[in-house]
Amino acid sequence: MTRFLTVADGLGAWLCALVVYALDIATLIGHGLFALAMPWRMTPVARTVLVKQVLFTGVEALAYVLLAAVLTALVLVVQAQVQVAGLGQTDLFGRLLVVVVIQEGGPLLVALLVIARSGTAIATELATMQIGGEIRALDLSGIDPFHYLVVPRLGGVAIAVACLVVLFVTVTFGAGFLLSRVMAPSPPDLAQFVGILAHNLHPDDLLVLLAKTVVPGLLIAAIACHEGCATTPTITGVPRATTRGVVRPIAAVLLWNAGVTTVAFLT
Amino acid sequence: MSAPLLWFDAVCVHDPDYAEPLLEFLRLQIRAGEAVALVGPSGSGKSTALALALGESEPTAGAVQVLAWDPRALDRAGLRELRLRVGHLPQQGGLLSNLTLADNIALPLLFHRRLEEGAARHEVRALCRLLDLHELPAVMPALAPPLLRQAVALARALILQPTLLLIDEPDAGLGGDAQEDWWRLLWRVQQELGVAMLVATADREHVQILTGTVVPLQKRRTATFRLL
Repeated sequence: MTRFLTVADGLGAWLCALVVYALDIATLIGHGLFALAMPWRMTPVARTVLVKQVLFTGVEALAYVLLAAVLTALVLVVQAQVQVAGLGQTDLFGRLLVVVVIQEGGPLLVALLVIARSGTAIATELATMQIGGEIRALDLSGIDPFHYLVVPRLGGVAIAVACLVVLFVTVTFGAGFLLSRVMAPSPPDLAQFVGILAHNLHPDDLLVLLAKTVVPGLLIAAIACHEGCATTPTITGVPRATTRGVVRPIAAVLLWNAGVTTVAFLT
Repeated sequence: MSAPLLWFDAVCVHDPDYAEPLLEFLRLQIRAGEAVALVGPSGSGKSTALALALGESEPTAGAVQVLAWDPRALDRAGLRELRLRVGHLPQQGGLLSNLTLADNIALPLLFHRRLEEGAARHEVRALCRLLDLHELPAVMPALAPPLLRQAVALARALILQPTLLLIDEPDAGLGGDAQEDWWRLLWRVQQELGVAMLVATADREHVQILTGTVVPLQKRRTATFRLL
């Protein structure tokens, strides 16, 4: 009985900590969105930080995202055509592509790439600044670290993720069409290909895509900023923040995407 | 006589984790143009006193007034307003490691006054001339020598023309001639700009270059070390 109570106690404490953490992140995102919603109140120097974040997270990741899109096209679009045709279910081809590329695979793959590059970078940078006393120095000179460090990163990562997902989806379909012309046994022509996609693309799919791009972008940046700023001044502080800046956004994005898919499926 | 810019009246700070108080009945006042040094060894409460003046912590007893404000009574916006008027030079400078030296100095101007880049650069150059920083290398702080880093941190603390400057262990990490050069620079800035200064330092010898007004603090807290 005592052992059961100990386990229940531990589980309860863990759940409470999880809820508090989720509320912290939600509050951070809420305040960040409020600040981003009034860009005229944002200082020019904070806007510069936002632009730099878009460049780092978006533009500098282009090569990786394009490579991922072409490989996805090779694996998915061509394979889908071949396999679906083999099963005699060619009418499912378009819907399959929309679901896999637009609703699930595209947003998730881009989010994982952004976590690997920018989540780690943000968490490490802010943790180093925290331990070096830079964030405290900013605060004591009247520069709000939230408005100078966090808000631009939230906005920059969210914008970059949204743009990268649109690019990923476009390139995947474009490369998929071109590759299928070369590799598939009876490929559709361009008009047929676009027609198949347009026929199977519903307005709800775009809502799902929006939910799975903007929110994960905010989650990645918010968790990385939170971990960076909350680091402890110990020798393991920075590596721990970096690890958490990767693992926690992955968990959060997977949970969010699963939730959105569930809601979309039920409605 | 003008009202004091900074006023500590019988200020006590107790930390429940320690048996000894961090500060006990500290009294001091600084008027416009004055420089005062809080001198004491590590653990004597110097940084605690500066934290009180910046509204980072609160006294257990006694009263603190900074520019006629009680930091305890200020909300977050009020504290920001206070910190815009009080320059602060932390230990190790606190420069942002991802900005060049010049960008570090310009940051408060760009953030608070929303100046154009060119106008900010102009003000930075004017202040740098005063501090003998004629050719500021376009490098990040980590690549600059310690004395230059400290001078740039001082410039950043002065760029908004504060009436009061709080300096924490200004010569930490400096040695030999650099230490003396640094204190002479502080003295010159104090003379030329007339800014009031509160300096927390353990350096009893060099502080005399800046000021003869010294408030001695006793060691109260013993740092404990634990092997991991």
